Amino acid sequence: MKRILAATCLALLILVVGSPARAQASPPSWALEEGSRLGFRTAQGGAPVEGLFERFEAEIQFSAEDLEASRIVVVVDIASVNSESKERDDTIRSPSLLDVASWATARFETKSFRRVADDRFEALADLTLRDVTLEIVLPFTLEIVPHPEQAGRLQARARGEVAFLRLNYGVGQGIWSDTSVVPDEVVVIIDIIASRPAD
Amino acid sequence: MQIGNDERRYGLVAQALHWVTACLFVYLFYLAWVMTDLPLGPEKFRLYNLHKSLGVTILALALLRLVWRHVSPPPPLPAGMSALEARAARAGHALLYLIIVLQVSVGLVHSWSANFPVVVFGLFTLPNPTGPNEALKKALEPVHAVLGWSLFVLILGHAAAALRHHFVHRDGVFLRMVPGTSRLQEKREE
Repeated sequence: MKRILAATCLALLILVVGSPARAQASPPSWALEEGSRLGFRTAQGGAPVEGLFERFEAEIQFSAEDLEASRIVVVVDIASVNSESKERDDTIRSPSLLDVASWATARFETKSFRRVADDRFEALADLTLRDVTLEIVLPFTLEIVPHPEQAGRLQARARGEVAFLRLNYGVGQGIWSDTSVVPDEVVVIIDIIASRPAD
Repeated sequence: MQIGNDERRYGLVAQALHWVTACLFVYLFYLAWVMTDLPLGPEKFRLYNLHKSLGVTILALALLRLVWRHVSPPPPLPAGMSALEARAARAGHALLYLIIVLQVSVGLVHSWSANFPVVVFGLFTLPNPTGPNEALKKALEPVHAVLGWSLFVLILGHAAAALRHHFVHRDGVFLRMVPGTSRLQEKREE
């Protein structure tokens, strides 16, 4: 009986002491900062058109030293699209394109990371637009510096862009399946700034 | 074949510019009529851009014609017009040029303030000097409509006046603008 009690205590002790140790081992969380940009580039009748999604949230657990356990989830508020044209933005939100009434958000969730060069990475992720989820590889550069405004913190800036075919996601129902004016290919541009306390 | 204008007739340059403009106007007004009610989609964008391309071309041709009028003055108004008729003819032509310049300019600023690119015949995109401006865009919409209808009525009046010369007065004024009718015009003026 005493032995069982001792073993249980030991197990509990390991659990209590051990778990924070494990938490420390997981990649640090980064908080999204002002100035982060999530944009897109397409074309209209041959002329380039750019826009932004003004509201999005990101959960970032990332460490270049522990890519295995790193994970980023970005949820984008579709209604916040801004291409500086009310007519165009309303069209993007309409049922034929991103259909904000049925699917209010888009989602980007990483599955794995790969280090390509010193400051260059690739994220394999699931991208969900409307009700379609497809894998996408986002290449990005990462720059981590001491926070310019907040002592004791680090600031990271990740920049990259990736093209995808909108029709694969059903973005282009009915007349919008025509790609002669607005091409099938859309480029997503990210410029994410995040920070965390320095170790 | 005369190239420039003289006392009697418009030359080939003025005639070509005039009739090309006339054809472009037919197409432009047809597009204006059908495109506005289309559902917002690729076809609507295509027709709008064609409409804009035609407008830009008509503006360029109008400016070219104004320069050409300066270089090679058009024939004078026919003798025997009343002072009122003469004034109406001068005012009509001046208004045609004025509204063409105004209307195309308003159309362009409307596109720019809507932040919709103006791609001329799919070849090149005009720079956007105004940038997005929703309030300006809203304000210009009725202006473009009113100027458009005014221009339409003015062109109809212009055509009616020309046909009146030809079929009612039976003079050579309309033929001045028609290529290859020099001798026919001469007969009319005898």
